[in-house]
Parts: sequence; C-alpha cells; structure tokens
Amino acid sequence: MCGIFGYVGPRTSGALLLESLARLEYRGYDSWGVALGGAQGLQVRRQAGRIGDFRSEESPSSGGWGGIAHTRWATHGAPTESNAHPHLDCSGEIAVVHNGIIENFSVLKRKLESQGHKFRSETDTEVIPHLIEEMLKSQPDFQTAFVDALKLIEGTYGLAVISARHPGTLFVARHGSPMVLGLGKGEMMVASDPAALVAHTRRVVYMGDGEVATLTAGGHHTQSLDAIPVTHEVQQIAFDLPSIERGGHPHFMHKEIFEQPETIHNAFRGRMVHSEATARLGGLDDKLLRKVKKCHILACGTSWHAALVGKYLLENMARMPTEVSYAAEFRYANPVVEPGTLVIAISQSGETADTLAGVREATLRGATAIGICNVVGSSIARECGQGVYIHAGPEIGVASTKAFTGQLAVLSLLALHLGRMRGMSLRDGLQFMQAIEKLPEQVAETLKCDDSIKELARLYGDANNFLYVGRLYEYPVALEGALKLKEISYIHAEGIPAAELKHGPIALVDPQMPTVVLAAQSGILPKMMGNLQEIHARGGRIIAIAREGDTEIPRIAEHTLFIPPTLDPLVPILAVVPLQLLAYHIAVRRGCDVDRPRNLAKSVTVE
Amino acid sequence: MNCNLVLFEDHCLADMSPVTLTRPAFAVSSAAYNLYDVARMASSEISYIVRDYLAKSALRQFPAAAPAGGPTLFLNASVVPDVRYAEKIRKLMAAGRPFLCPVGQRVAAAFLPSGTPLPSGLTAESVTPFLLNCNLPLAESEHFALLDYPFQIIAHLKKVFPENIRLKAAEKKFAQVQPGVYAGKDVQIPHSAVFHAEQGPIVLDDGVRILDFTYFQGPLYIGPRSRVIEHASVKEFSSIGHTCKVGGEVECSIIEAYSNKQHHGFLGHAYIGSWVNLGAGTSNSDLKNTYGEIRIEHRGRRLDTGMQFFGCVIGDFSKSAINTSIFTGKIIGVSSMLYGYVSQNVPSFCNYAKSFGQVTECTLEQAIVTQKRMFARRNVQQSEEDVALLTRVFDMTRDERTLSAELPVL
Repeated sequence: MCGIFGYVGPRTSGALLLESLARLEYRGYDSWGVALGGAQGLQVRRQAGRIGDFRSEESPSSGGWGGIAHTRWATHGAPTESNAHPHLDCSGEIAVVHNGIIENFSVLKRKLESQGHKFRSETDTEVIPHLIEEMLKSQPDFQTAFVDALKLIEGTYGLAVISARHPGTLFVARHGSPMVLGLGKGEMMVASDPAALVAHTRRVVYMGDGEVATLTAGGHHTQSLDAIPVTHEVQQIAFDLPSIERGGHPHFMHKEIFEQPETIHNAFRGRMVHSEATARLGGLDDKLLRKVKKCHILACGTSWHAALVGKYLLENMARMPTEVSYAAEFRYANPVVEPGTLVIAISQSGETADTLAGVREATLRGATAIGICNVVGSSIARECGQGVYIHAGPEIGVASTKAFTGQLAVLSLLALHLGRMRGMSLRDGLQFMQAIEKLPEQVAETLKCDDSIKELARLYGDANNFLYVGRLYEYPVALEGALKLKEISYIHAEGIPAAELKHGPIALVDPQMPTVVLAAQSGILPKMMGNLQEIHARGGRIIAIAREGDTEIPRIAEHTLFIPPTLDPLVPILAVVPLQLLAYHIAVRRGCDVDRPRNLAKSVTVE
Repeated sequence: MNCNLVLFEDHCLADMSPVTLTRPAFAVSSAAYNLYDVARMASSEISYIVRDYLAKSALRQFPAAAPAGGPTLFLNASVVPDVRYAEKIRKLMAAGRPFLCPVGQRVAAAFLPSGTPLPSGLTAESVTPFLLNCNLPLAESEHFALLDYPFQIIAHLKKVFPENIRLKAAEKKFAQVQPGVYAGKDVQIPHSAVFHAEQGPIVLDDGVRILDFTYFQGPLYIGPRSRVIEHASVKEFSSIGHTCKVGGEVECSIIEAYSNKQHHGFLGHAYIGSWVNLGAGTSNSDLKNTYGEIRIEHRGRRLDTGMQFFGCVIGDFSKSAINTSIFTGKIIGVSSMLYGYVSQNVPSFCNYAKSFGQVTECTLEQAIVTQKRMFARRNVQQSEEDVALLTRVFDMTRDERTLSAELPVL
C-alpha cells in the first residue's frame, strides 16, 4: 500500500524523485524517504509526515546517477523517521525501498543479528539490505547476491535497490506487489504504480511475480529468480492521472471493493500457524488472553457491525462471553467492567473519538484493551498498547468497505486463536483455517456479479426505502448493507433480524419495498426459507443472497445473487460484497458523490 | 510403489501416564492385541517414531523397518488396537490419497503422497507440527479412536473385544476343544474347569495351564504360557498377557505380560501393567456406592470418565501387599509399592502405606534390585537398557512425587 519510485539517468535530483513520489501520496502518507546515488556514495533523507521539500543542497553536487524514493503507510513499526524507507545495510552502501510484507522477517532478523548485523528500525524491510550485505560476503556479484537474498524471503515484495558500489544501476524485484518499469529516452524509471511515471513516459513494462530487473540509463534486463531471461511487451499508458490513481476504477469506493481479495489476504498473511492449527497475532500477549473471562467490543458505525459479527465468532468458536457496545453509549453509561474483561476497540482510522474515549473509560475501570485498527500508530493503537492491524491499506472512500472485511478477517483470526486456546478441536481449527485461506479467491469470484448488480441498480434505484434481513452471522451484514445504502445513496434503509419481521416490520412490506434477504448460511436455511415465504406472500420484491448451488431460493426470490459456499462464520465476508456493490451502483445511478457523501467525514474525530 | 507405515507417538502422551511411561503407546494391549500387532496385519514392514528414551527398549521387542522412499501412512501410536482398523489401514495405503485425519487435539492419521520429503530426525514432539504443515486435505469420513487417558483403555475394551477375539480364535494354530473354546499348542485343561462361551469365545494361547475348579466366562483371552490358579474365576472381557499368573476373580480387565494376580481377591475394569505383582487379597473397587459416573483425578485435573464401572490403572513394576484395597478409579504409577487402603492416586516410585501413616519414596536402587529379582524368577536377564529406563522414568516422575500431598517424608 506504500509507494515506490526509482530513477536512473542524467536528471537525477531529489526534487525529481519527490515530485514523482508525490503522485503516489494518495496511497499512503505517514512517512517518506529518498536515497540518491552520487560520486560521494549514497545520500539519504527520511522524514515522518507528508512529503516535504528536498533542498537543492541535499542533492548530489556531482555525479548523481540515480535514486529511489518511498512513501510509507506503516505495517510493521510506527510511522517514525527511523522506520521510514529507504533502509540501509550496516555499511550504508546498500539502500532498499520495499512494498509488501516479509513474513519471516523475525527469523531472518534474529539470524542476521547473530551474525553481527545492527538494525536501526522496527520494520520488516530492514532485513533485506542486511541480507544482501551478508550474501555479498560469499558472492561478489551484486545481482547474484540480490537474487540469493530474495530466495530466503517469504512474503510479498516490490523492491528497488541501489548500491554505492554499483553506480548507474537500479535493481528491482517483484513478488506479489506490483512494479512497473518506465522506459524513457536515456533514462529508466520504476514505480509501484503507473501514476508516478506518466509525467516522464507513457511507455511501460509491467513486471511479473518472481522476476528481477536491472535498470541502467540505457535500458533494462528482466529475468526470473532462476536467471531465465524474460521479455515483456512494452505497453502505452492511456489513462488520465486521476483515473490511474483510482486504478482504472470510476471511484475509490469501487476500487476499494475490488481490492478486497488482496486486503483480506493481507489480513491473514503470515498469521496462520498450520503446525498448530491456529492463528498467531503478534500484537497480542497470549498470557493475557489466557486470563480473559469476557470480551467487550467497542466500536461505531461499520466497525460496530463488524463487532456484532465478532460477538458471534467469539461466543461460537471460543465459547467466550462477549458484549458489544456503541462506544459513545458505553462511555456515558456508567458501565460495569468485570474483572478479567478484555475490551476490543475496533476502528478503521484508529482515531474515532468515541471509541478512543470508550477505551480510556474501560481501562480506568480495570479492563485490558486491545485495538483492531487499520492505521499503524494511530491514537487507539497507541492507547491500547497492543492489538492487531488489518493491513487493508489506506481507505479513501468515505463508505468503509475493505476495512470492514479486513476487520472481519482479523476477528475470525482472533476467534480461531482464542478458540484453540479454549478447547476447539484440531479438526475444527484446520477446517476454519482452510476456509479462511479460500476467501480471497471466493471474494474475487463474488465480485464477478458486478454487472448483474448494476442491472439491479437500474431496477431498484428509484426506490425510497429498503429492508435488509438476516439471521445470526448475516444479521450484522443486513445492518451493514442498509448503512452502505443510506450513507452513499441517501435512501432510507433498515437492517433487521429476520425473525423480527413478524413482530412489526413486515407491515412495511409491499411491492414498493424491496427486501434484501441474506440466506447464505447453511445452518439456518430452513428458517430463512420461512421468512422468504412470508415476504413473498405479501407481495414484497426480494433480492436474495444465497449460497451457490441453492435451487430453492431462486424459485421464491425475484433476484438471487450467489456467493461461493463457505463456513457459516465466514459468510459475512462474502455476503457483504454484493451489498457494497448494490449500494455503490444505486448511488452512482442517483448521481450521488460516492467517495464524498454529504454530511459525512471519513474519520469521526469529534464526539 | 510400496507404501510405508509409520506408527508415531505424539506430544500428547503425558496424559497417558503412567501406562506409557515405560512402553511405547503402540504396545498397550487391549483384547488380545496391541496396535503394533494390528499394524502388522496391514503391513509386514512398519517403522515407528517413539520418545527417544524408549527407542532402544522398543527395538528389542518390536522390529522396525527403515522407511523407504515413497508414499507414507502415518498412524498415531495411540490409536485404539482394534483389528477392524487393519483393513482400513490396508485400504488407505492402497488408495494412495493424501489426507489428514485429526481427532480431538491430535492427528490420528495422515497419508503423505510420494515425493513429500520426510525431514530426518522426526520426533514424537515434531511429527504432529510436520504433518499439519503439509497442508493435507482433511479426511471427511475417516476416523480412528485414540487413547487420550488411561481409563479409556478400559472404556474401549468392550467395544473392540468381540471382533478382536473373533479374529484371534480364527488363527490357524487354535483348535476348538469345546464349543466356543479355542486352545493352542500344549494347553492343559482339567476336567473340572468350567467354560461358558455363550457370550463370546474363550481363547487359550500356547502353553496355557489351567488348574482345577476354575471358571471361565467368555469372551476372554489368556496369553501364552500363563497359568490360571485353582478356584479362579476369569470372566468376560478379560485379556491376559503372556507369562502371567491369574487367581481369584478377574473381570473386564487387561493384565500385561509377566504380571501376577495369583491369589484370591477381585480385579475388575482394571488395567495392570507388566511385571506387576498383586499380593493375596488385593482387591479393587470398580463401582461407586452411588452407582454414579466415575470421576477421576489425573495430572492435576478432574476428569469425567463417562463410565459407571472403572477400577484402577497400575503402571509397570508396581506391587501390592496382602489385603491391599484399591478404591474406585485410582491411578497407580510405575514401580510403586502399595500397602493397606489406597484411597488416592499414587505417584510412581512410592511406598504407599497411608493407612499406617507412611508414604515415602521408593528409591531407585530399591526399584532396580526388585526388578532384577523378579526378572530372575522368569529367566529374564536384566539389561543396561532396563536399568536406564527405570532411571529415566524415576527422574521424569520426580516432580509428581514432590508435588504430591501424599509424600510428607522423603
């Protein structure tokens, strides 16, 4: 989710690098850094905060041949100057910028430290320059040492590397994190995103996974990790800049919905411990978790809906009594906080004022708090002192989408971890893990319903009211679907537990009231069939979310959207995707400003 | 391509203490067979992974093949020795489909296809993480029952007995000497012996000697060279190992090889290890006065057994004095000496005479000397491995003695 720009050629300057880097700032913005190669070796400048100025006197006075730059959105380590990229080896002669996550960095770091390497940051990235430095002890060829180091890395990376001992060459690698080469005249560039290249060239080469490239001012060479040369077609960038920033999507919300296969993967990447059939959440203290007798989740808005799913997960899988409160209600309610209570604060930004205040109130009353946040080093993360990041990357659309599914993924991991601690069987643990690992592919499959949902938006975009109904794990999804519709299309919508229909809301059902029925869980399908019949009998128009292969629901519902089969506790992660798209397309059809809905702010930092 | 069969002990065996302190988990008997026997029915060549300190002594009794390359079926050594599993194992090996079969918190079985590299030096501690890391598909229908706790040996005994004893009786070496009574070579049966095989076969293995006025109620099995003393009553679901002496009343119990219960007294729903000697009049209770479910204490936890009848578990090399009375559901460790009323669990290497106000440690030297004397009576030479094993188990169980409130004086 961070941004990389690298350049090799005659126009080398800090200003050029920063100008190009600024094009990527929309991707992340907690810190930045630049390394420039010149006659006197490498010059490095790093800083926390937004991209600043690079004064001309800081550029190489002579012999500048290239450089790399990075804008960071923290994943490992707080957004501080020392954690900002580029990271250097012990000698200060190798500089690395990196996007992605090195899953085995703890093991590599311990080994390198035992070999005498000194680390200066808390990041996973810093192992890379030290690893290359270590490889160079037995392998004088830099390119080979670079590849040898890559072979030891588990995880994902988009990398750009320069070495003071190899002026005029930029070393690049890609595995799971995009890298694009920009082909200029007498100069070469690399970036994690074409947005950084368009000001310089429109001729680009998209690198494939498992490839390394060497760039000089005169050209580039690409090969596989096994040294087999790779040739790519040169492509022309035809998009305008704002469109590139949105990755070709019409709105950030649409882009973020479509990023979910990747962001869900990021939420569990490196956290699955197959050898114990559990999840390892590095930010949590297991000794503390063993003492927990009860959980109390605090959240607001979409995060509160994730919290409701979390309650079902924790109670069902870990047999952990769990309460969920709106953070603002909790803090003013003179709450009872029993001994052994673990407060879980959920907030995308980590800055939600009410949730932060709720955490403070709970800890004053003796609770231990952990955070589930997206923004590293945010106020809630700092206040709690421990927690789990969802690694969803910056969420720009005001209506939360990928952060919600990221929160659900992390809550699933927490439930698995606590469950395994509290007697969940090995089989159940393994089944759950395998189901989680299928989710990115299943979300990608679910996203294929985009066109059908666009058509639904045409049919239902003029409705004034919507009902969303679901049971158990799908009840919070019903709430979330209704909230999405309300906040971006301004249509009144209500989410209710399906069984509550007959206690009042069914009076609203008529042919003008579309009802979205969530019926993809296998465990309570017969009950949901009953609800479908009730709505159908009263002339209601039903849009159903069903499990692939279900043949009964399409007989009753007017429209059925299918999601791939998964375990019931994971259904929310798939079922919410069509609802996000439905809200999005209806809002677009009604001409609403999807990314900046009226009266709303992305992060509610006021009470 | 040949398929390897590997019996593996795992990291959960501490809960099977004291039964598996001195023997591999696959060497626990139940209804005439142990799991090693069952595995041999499925494959002539098997190998195994046991705890390091048991490796040498295991090899003396249980031949092991070096695993060759190719597909491998891993079977947990704690799987219940049920002969029906032999056919299941054969089919799984023939099918060659990768799978992982977890049961509770343990891996019961896993099939690794050809080409999966087996790390060298797999241990009882590392084998389960290794198998889990192989990311094998979960078996949907396969199931193997595992022995997690000692009382489960008795809980499973009745379930496996009918098929195990049917197969045993069908072995070619046995001849039917009376309806439902099968005898091997050189079995001596007096006219005064009474056999009731209506509920299941009675199998008397080679060299079994039955003395006068004995009563047998099937199904039951008596191992080679064992002797049943006059007036004994050996009843249903009893499985006696080789070279044992049995007297008094025995019901639904397992007695491992070389153990003696030769005098009067009742033994019911009990597991007795090897080289145990129960003195005259030793009896155990296997039913609560309330007729309620039996709950036991085991390794600091209270466990519901789910059983109305459960007697006791006695580890290898332990002895009881005359008229010892063992209360319901008690677990006796390895190489302990019992006197009087045994109303609580007894750790390994203890002289337990609580009724007389004395509970002390049985020294290692005393245990070694006693073992040597007992071995000599059965023409068994005490080896360095035997002494090393006792020494190791003595050290391993030191904490349970010091933690026990039963041991005020050491």
